[in-house]
Amino acid sequence: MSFVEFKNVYKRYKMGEITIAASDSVSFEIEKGEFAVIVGASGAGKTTVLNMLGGMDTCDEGEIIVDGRNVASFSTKEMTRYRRQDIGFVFQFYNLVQNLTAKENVELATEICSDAMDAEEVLKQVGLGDRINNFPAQLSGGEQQRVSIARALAKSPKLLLCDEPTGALDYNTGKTILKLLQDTCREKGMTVVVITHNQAITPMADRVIKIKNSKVSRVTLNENPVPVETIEW
Amino acid sequence: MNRKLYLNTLRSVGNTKSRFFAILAIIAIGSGFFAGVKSAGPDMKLSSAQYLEEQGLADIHIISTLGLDDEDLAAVENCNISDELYAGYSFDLMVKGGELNQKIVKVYSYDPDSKINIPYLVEGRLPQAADEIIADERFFSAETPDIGDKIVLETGDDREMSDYLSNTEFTIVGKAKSPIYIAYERGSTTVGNGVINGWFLIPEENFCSEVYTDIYVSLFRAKGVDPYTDEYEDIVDRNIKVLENLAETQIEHRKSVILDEAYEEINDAKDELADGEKELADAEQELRDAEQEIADGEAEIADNVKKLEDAEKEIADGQAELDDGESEYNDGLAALDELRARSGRLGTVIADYSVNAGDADRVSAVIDSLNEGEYFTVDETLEQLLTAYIMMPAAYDDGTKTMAGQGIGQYAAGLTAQADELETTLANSRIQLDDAQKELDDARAEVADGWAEIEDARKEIEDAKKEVEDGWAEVEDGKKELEDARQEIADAEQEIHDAVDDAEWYVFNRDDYNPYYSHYAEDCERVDAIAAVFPIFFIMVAALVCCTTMTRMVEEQRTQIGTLKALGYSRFTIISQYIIYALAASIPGGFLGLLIGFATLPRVIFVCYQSMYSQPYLVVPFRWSYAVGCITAACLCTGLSALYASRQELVSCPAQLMRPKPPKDGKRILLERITFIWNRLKFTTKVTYRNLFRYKSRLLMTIIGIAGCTALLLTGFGLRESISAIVDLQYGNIFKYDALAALDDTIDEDGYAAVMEDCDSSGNVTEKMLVMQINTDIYNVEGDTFETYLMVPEDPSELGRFIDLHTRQEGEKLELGSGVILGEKLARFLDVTAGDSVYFGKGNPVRVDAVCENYTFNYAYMSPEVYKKAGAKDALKNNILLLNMNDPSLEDELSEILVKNENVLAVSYSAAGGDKFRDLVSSLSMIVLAIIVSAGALAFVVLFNLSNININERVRELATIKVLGFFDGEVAAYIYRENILSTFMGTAAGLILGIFLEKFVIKTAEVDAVMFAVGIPVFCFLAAAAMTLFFAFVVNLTLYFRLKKIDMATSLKAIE
Repeated sequence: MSFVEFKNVYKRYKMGEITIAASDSVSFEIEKGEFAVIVGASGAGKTTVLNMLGGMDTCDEGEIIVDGRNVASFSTKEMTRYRRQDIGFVFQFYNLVQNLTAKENVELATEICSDAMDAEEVLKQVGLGDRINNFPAQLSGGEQQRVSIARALAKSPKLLLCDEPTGALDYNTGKTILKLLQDTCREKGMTVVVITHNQAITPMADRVIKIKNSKVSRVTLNENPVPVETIEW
Repeated sequence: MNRKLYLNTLRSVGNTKSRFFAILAIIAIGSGFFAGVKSAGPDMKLSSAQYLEEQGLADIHIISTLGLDDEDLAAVENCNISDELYAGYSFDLMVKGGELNQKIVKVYSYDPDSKINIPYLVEGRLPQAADEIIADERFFSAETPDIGDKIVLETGDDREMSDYLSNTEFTIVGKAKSPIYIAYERGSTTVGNGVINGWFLIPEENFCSEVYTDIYVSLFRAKGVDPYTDEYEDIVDRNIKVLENLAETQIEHRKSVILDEAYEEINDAKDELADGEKELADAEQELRDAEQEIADGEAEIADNVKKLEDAEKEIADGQAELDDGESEYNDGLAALDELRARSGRLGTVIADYSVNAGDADRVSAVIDSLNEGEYFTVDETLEQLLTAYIMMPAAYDDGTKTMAGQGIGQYAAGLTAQADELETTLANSRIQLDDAQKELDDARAEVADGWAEIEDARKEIEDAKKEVEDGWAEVEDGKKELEDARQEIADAEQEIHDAVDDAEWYVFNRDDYNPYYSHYAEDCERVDAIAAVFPIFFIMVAALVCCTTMTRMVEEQRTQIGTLKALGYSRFTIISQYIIYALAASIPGGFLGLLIGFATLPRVIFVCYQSMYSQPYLVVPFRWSYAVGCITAACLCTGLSALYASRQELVSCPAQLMRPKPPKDGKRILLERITFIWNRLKFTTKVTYRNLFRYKSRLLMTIIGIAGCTALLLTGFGLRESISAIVDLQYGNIFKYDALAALDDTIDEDGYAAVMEDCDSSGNVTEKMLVMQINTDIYNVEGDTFETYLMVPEDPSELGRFIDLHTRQEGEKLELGSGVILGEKLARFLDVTAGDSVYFGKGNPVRVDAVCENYTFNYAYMSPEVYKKAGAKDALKNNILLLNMNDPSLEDELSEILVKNENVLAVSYSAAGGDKFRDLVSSLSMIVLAIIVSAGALAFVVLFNLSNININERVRELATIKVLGFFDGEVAAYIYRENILSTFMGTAAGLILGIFLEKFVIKTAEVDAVMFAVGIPVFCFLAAAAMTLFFAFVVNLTLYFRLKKIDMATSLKAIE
């Protein structure tokens, strides 16, 4: 059994009289330690998939298996615990608490997590060893995203979910962030799921899941993923 | 302005309902409270003015110590100051029997046509027949009688009922309020136990007093003038002067009438006295004559006794004589018998002629037989004859014998003759003797009668003596009676003179004849004073909340402002949107608040005061001036905050505005610099502190808002405690005496003694002390003056048993020394402290020895020595008596004894004095409750609004931490920690602020006669804090559900 498994997952929204399916029988698998990219155009339904995978939303039908457990059947409380222990989340807009230093933003996550890593250690790993006491406003976008990644990694999650991690960054910075994510995946054996509309970065992934019209249109496995440095867009 | 823009504004109202209603609510609360509390005092005054006008409460009330007659009434009428006049009667009488047995009531004459002091009928109807009466609607300390009850009245003492009322039995047909009685206190009297319980209005025709007791005047100039204004006071004062001038002449008129009447009576009495004296003199003369007669009688008796004794002696002599006579007579009878016997013998002898001649023996035998008796002895002749006769024998007769016989015969015949003569003599003697005997017997009877007579005479004299003695006693009594009568007449004369000399008209204004009249005004002003502070606070907090809310709104609509600007709308147009929004909330909110405030708060406050005052209704006009003021203030408040909030947005260029506002930079807070504390804090605590100090202005507002609420609550609680503490402090800690008897001004040494004796005889008075208490002006060096009660105890060293003088802060006991001790508030008014000098009138300076704790009225204390030196204008004369009692609950019993004493005017009790203030406290408690409820509402709105804004601003952050896996409880705690901390800070600040606010309110609300207790008890702090925290808790509870609803997907959205 795969590490992550979506089995005929449906998510429907009622808009007045009409019911819109944001996820229409979505099925895919991701193996442990894989660097997976979920790619699709705006409004294709990739964020819905991310929400359900990250335990931020429930599905209406189907099974979502993560590490052998069916997330779809979780109660609200179990869902929160799942987010807390198993998921690391990297936001497009970093979502750092402006009022907390880099270290404190990381600690915000480690405080609630049972087997968390040391905040400073993680920040060093993401290359911010000398900025740990800076406030977000004192950091560049890339640095802020690194803090965000550090915050996600510090919890030692089973799954690192990244929502358009480069969306708010310039080209080069975006590349370094992607590199950080890829390195993390390779070095730590962390399962990383990146959601993006950017087709160009698919070559670096082990697995590419293409979403179109709320459905999985194609799943491609890359036998030889290329390093980030070689990709250009 | 563009119509679409209007539409947008209107829609934004719909889309932001909670914000819109928050502003509306806060404006409603603020303006409602302000207008409501602010109009309470004026409403109460207005209602009272209307009521008093409608009932025609007299502006001036005249009474006279000599009563008033028709001429007085006419004189008042001629002054041309009145449009209504009523001369009537009022007396203090006692109810006999029934539930009100022994209760004292005041009866007033009732004239249905009079337009003065019209009763305000509460129940039943007005009297139609002479025996129908109206009863007081609320009796002071007794059950109020019901309609239909029969009431029998008596005087309750030795006064004659017929001097007052021709009828004594009445039926109650109605219950009413009387405008004469503003409060429920019914006054005091010298009848019975001294407490008047209520009044009855009795139709005028029942009264039979010769003179009126009262004249009520309604001034035409005062018609329609608000009685609580200076204008009214001026009018009344001017007219009182007119009447006082009139009084000078009218009192002389009454004096002469009274003196004439009195002197007629006195002269009659004097005549009677003279008659009595004459009668007494006559009686004395008679008695003296009788005494003379008795003496004469006694002399006569003595004479008669002597006479009788003489007569008795005579009788005894007579008896002796008679006895002698009797004895002689008896001898005579014996002699007679003997003579006749001898004569017979001689005859026998002669007859014996033939008998042998005898011998000598025979002769001697015959002679011996003849000599046998004692009365006859044979003489020589006879012897010879006999011898011759016998010796000569018959035969031998020679004639000798015959001759001898013849001789003897002759002799015998001589003897017989002698006997006959004797017999005649004896018969006479017998008659004489019998006569003498009779005479003696008569004399004896006479003497016996005489003795009896004397005995009678003696008895008579004894009786006469007794009678005379009685007579003297009677005369003595009569003299005494006359002396008494003379004294009585003198007294009566003196009394009349005193009465006439002291005769005075009292021309009272409303305040003089009903002290509660000014109390009512003062209470209204006190409400006003409280109203001055609290509502402003409310408005301030409301402004604060509006400002925050509007700021948030403008911030939220930053992009829209930018877009509009970019589209080319003018600044004015854009800003008017927000101003319209603000006004749309504040104008209805203001009106809503005003409607509720005007209608409810004055009523709530009025209901509190209704327990003390008999004002039957409240007029609640819509006060446009307040309304306009309130709404303007509200509009300014919200409009200006809209302007203020949007100031930055308006100067920024559209491009700036359309970019998201850069989040506020994180900063290190001061606490972090203190590393040894900071490093020890838990991570979550650090976050809390950081966040808390991130938005300083909002933190400040939260703190100010919460502090304001806490301060209001603390002030409310503290105010109530301060006021209620007065009672216990003044009547428990300072005034230790149980009762106070007010003494008549004319009391003299005997009077004091009599009062003291009454106290002792009551058996309930343990200690007593005479004190002089006068109302006098006291000056400081600058010449500022203040009216005060000056107390001069007779024995300053014992004063502590009755009044405990001590300093407030140190509690140090104070003794009266060479200066004066002033009550705290008085000292504050005069701006003096210990060591300064004060003056009483134009006298010498008196050093202030100390300042003592005092709460009600203003007192100054000094010893008699100091008083004499101070040179005040009143002479030192004790006029009150302080009493301590064994059993202070037996008030009625003591009153009954003391009030009967003519030197005692009234007796008041500490316990009752306290009760009066307790009423005040209970009424204020309701106001405080209203403040607490409003403060609570305010706290709720402030907290809810600020927390709401807090959440709105940080919704992204909250969604993020939710994504990070915070449980609902943890998310809530993340916010709560900040709320709780700011609430605590606000509460703490509020408690400190409250101390000052309370002090300020107390200073404002305090009337001259009262000093509120200083210091707030700990439980008030606890209560205020607890209530604030409770409100915070409730608000946090509602927030929990809002937090729960926050959608995690928000964290993924782009920053707006």
